[in-house]
Amino acid sequence: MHTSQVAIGRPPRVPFGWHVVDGLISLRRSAVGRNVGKAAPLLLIVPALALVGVLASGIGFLTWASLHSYDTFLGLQGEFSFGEYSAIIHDRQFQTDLVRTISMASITAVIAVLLAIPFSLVMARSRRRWMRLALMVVIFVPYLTGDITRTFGWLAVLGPRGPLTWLCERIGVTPPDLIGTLWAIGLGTVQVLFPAAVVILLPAVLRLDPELEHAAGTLGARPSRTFLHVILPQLQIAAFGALAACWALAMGDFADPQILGQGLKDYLANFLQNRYLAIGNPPQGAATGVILIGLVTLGAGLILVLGRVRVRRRPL
Amino acid sequence: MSDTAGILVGEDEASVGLLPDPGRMNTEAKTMVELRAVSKTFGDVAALDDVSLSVRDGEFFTLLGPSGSGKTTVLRIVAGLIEPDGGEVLIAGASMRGVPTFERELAVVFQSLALFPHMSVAENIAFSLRMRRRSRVDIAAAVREVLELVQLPDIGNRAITELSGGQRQRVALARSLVYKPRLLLLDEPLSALDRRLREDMQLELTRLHRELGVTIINVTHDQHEALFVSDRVALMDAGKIVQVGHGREIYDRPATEFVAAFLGDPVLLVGEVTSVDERRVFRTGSLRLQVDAGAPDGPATLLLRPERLRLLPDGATSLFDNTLPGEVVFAAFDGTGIFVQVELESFTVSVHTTMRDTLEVAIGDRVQVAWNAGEAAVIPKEPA
Repeated sequence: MHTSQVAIGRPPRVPFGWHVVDGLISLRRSAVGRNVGKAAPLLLIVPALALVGVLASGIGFLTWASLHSYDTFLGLQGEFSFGEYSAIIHDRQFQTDLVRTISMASITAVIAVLLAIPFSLVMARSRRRWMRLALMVVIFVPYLTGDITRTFGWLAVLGPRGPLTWLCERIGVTPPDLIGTLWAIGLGTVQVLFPAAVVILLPAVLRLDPELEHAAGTLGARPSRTFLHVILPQLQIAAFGALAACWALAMGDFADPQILGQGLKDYLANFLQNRYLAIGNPPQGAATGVILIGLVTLGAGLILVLGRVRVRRRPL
Repeated sequence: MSDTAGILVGEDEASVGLLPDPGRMNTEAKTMVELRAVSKTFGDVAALDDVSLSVRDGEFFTLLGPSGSGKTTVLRIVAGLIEPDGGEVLIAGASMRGVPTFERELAVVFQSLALFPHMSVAENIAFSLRMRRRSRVDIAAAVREVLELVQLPDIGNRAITELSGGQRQRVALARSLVYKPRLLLLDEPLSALDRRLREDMQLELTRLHRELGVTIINVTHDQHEALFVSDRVALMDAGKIVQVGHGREIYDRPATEFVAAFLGDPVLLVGEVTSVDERRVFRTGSLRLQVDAGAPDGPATLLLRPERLRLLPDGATSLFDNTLPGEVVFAAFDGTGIFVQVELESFTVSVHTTMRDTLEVAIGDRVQVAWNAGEAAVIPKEPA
């Protein structure tokens, strides 16, 4: 009989997957009776740690690649070297893009946070449900729209046959040629950053005690001075948090300079892409990426530290 | 409402004691705050219904009432934090219509105290002076002075989070007093304190009021606090002022059953006042009780307060106008005397004996409950 022959002969090959299942069953049996409760929280964060680990390994790979010379003709990695860093730091295009990225990220992040503070206050304090809903829509619809879709939306608005041109022609003003300028990039970036700033600020705004503003009023403070002396200081940490997040987001912006800037006003992310794909020098792209990550980390950290510094007056 | 603007205590009562200091209760004093037919509605709820009252300059005036009676709404309307739907508010004779809070020259101590968490104690106190653009030298001197006034001279550089509950109360008071406002509004600032601290702060408030002479409107639901600190009390219920007067007067002669029941822990008997042999008699069921000669004829409520009743041994000869036999059903020492509940023939009454009373009672003892006609207030039934 066929079956008896199998039983007598060599044991059948068990697929590898079954070995894994057996291993998991053994692991579960060995864990029964042990105190796994304490380990449960650690187990729950394993997926998140795995994600961070993948990112860290990617950064590690970038760093490793950036620290070696590279032959762009043969496409071969050479010896350990800082040559790629030296090359891009002395590159005029890199210098221009670096200054532009830092300047534009700083300006757009500050504008986004300045716009988000009054917006969050109005949103949090609006008593009318429809008003709150409308403001939520204003925030979240652009937020949930993809980067590229939103940016192309701006291209349509600011472009030669867009509503801006139409409006200018109607009121007899020469339409500004914004596409390809920093103005267009700035507008697009602020719109990306603004919802993020509101989302970060909103919990702090909701925590504000309205009684403190009433108290300020009864002590003789006009609304403007109440805003400056009572509301803003309480939002300081959240506002700087929003600023750090917006700055980091703006530093890594790619779509706005690419689409609205038409490649004429590149950021570091565009420079990086050029090194990888156009020039074919991945180690220089990696070095750019490492510099960008370092700058974002340092800058955001510095902003967060500044947010926690209390403005000290001389003692009375 | 028995009186909107100030029932003053009659001359015959002035000899009783515990009445306002004549200096503090100056009947000639000008009016600091006046409310004229003020009303306010939140949604469908009438928070204030045609409220009128006046507070004299330098007076310590308390708005007393249960939660939702409208007392905080009155305070907030005076402060300008809420706009009334109707009526008018005057401060020092000037209409406050259209005058924003920051121009009303008053101070509020809120229930939450509302101390600025991002400022030190000294910065909190200096806030009102900074808003008035005083010089740094003036501010420093004023802060030092007011911290000494509230007996916290060395805490100026501390953070608000480093203060105890009592210290926070004092800092909130100091912040309100530092610029010498003409009017101080207190929105139940003592309600969160434990009893000992609350009583200390009540004494502190009366001391500051005496020393500074500032007009104070205090809001509280604590009847003890209202009676203890105030020159006059206004009792509020359901958006209306039910009675205004000196605490002793409201306590002894409540205008309504609500006032009687809100203050103290009385027994209220419903019946009718009639004349019998030239005496005024209150009839309820089969009971006939002698009442004050001034009690008007007709349906009324008799008010028996525990501290006005006496306990006599069973069978003892009584010289009181009213004496009812009964049985002790509960007796407990409460620190200031003995609280006794006596079951009478048709109702149960509470009696609070003082430490000076020598009669010792136990549950099940037969006793007599006695009082004189003038010691039980008669509240005529309000016309429907």
